[in-house]
Amino acid sequence: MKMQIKTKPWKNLAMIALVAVLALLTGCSSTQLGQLVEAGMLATGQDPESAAQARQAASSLSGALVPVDEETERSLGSGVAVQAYSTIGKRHPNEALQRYVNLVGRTVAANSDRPDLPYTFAVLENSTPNAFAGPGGYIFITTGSLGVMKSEAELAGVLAHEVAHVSRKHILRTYRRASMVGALQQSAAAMDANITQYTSLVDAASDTLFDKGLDQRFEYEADLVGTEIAAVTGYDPRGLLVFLSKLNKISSAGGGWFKTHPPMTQRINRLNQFLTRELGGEKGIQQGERFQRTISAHLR
Amino acid sequence: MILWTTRWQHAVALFCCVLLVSSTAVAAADVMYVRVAKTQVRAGKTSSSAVVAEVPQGTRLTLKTKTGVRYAVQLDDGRQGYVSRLHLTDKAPASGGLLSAVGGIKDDRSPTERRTAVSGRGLSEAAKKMASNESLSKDAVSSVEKMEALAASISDEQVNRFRREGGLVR
Repeated sequence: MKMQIKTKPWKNLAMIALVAVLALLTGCSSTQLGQLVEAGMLATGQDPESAAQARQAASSLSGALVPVDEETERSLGSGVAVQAYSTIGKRHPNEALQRYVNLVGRTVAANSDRPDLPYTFAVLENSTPNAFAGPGGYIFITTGSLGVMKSEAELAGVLAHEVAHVSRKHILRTYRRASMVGALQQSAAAMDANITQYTSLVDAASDTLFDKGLDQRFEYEADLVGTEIAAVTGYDPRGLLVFLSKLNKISSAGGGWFKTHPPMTQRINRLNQFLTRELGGEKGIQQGERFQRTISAHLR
Repeated sequence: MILWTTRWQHAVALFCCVLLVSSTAVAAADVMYVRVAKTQVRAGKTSSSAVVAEVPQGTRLTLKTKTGVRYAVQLDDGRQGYVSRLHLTDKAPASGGLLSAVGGIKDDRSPTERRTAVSGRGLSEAAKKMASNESLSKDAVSSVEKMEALAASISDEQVNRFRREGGLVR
């Protein structure tokens, strides 16, 4: 006869927490960790129901803690990029313009808190002002956004905002909130073999980035971190603020940033407070001349 | 059996306490390291302040104060100044131990993240299959390939030249 021992809930929680920490150290998948917890509890005489509950809890907790590997992140990002070109707009054909945007983007990304990722930037042909970042550093900006800007500092501010989404892993954290942790724990090779699951992950990310928008807290964080990145790079830290203020005045600019981002006035107020409090002494470079020369030669 | 289980659970609780205490100790450490390729230690809190020193990735800096967007630091040779917090990490450079080095900084990624240490450019096989299954346009796929190729063709030196020509500080 199997002995069953009732234990207090906090003790189970302590064990689950311990196992989740071990997940970080050993690299086990969340599923494996859950199975390990269940087996351990059954071996020590716990009842099967408690063991099953603990397995689920351990899987969720370790999944939330174990990071996604970079190759998987970039694989998802390349899928989102394909979707972007399919649904948002074609790649602008001017290579000099694409190169210029990449140079500005790489300059700010080198000063981010995730500088070693192979970031790649692209201009999409779409007249609605918008920009978004896929997992792994695939960053897009529309011709509509470039048309509103007057300086490189504005472009740098917007690209730095998108770099901050990538460096803070906002889309991956969105997956976790949506309980898609198990699918994310797979390697890129495993995703290659399970296209149905891969497609559902890419569709979920694309739906968030193109239509629903990220959590408002992530947008506010990207505003502040992006502005800080632009300032450290040497650009006028007010670039993003100037761009957002212009959008706020364009009544016809429905969709795009208005559709997928929090209320503009709130963002402008928060950014103003941050600039005054933390970056009041920063002047920085506008680079209106280089921007105007490039844009007028290749876009307008 | 009951006695063994109780001891085991106590051991689990004790281990969690040790982890909590040790993580608190790490967080309280007053040493940080340069995360980016190189950064400038400045005499003041703005990017226009005079440069005290230019230090490479992995350089150890002692924290004096940790407030605002630029932390006050001291170099091992005694010089003091301010560094962007974005350029600092609490992870020590690799020292040839169990953990492998990536770019001069101890690799703080989990084994899962390290599963693929080299993250190359290029459209993934999964993305290609998805595009095929979903009948997405060939133009969309080739656009991602062009995007990747352009990014790969731009060297760090070209980025640095662009930065210098633009009069950007760093």
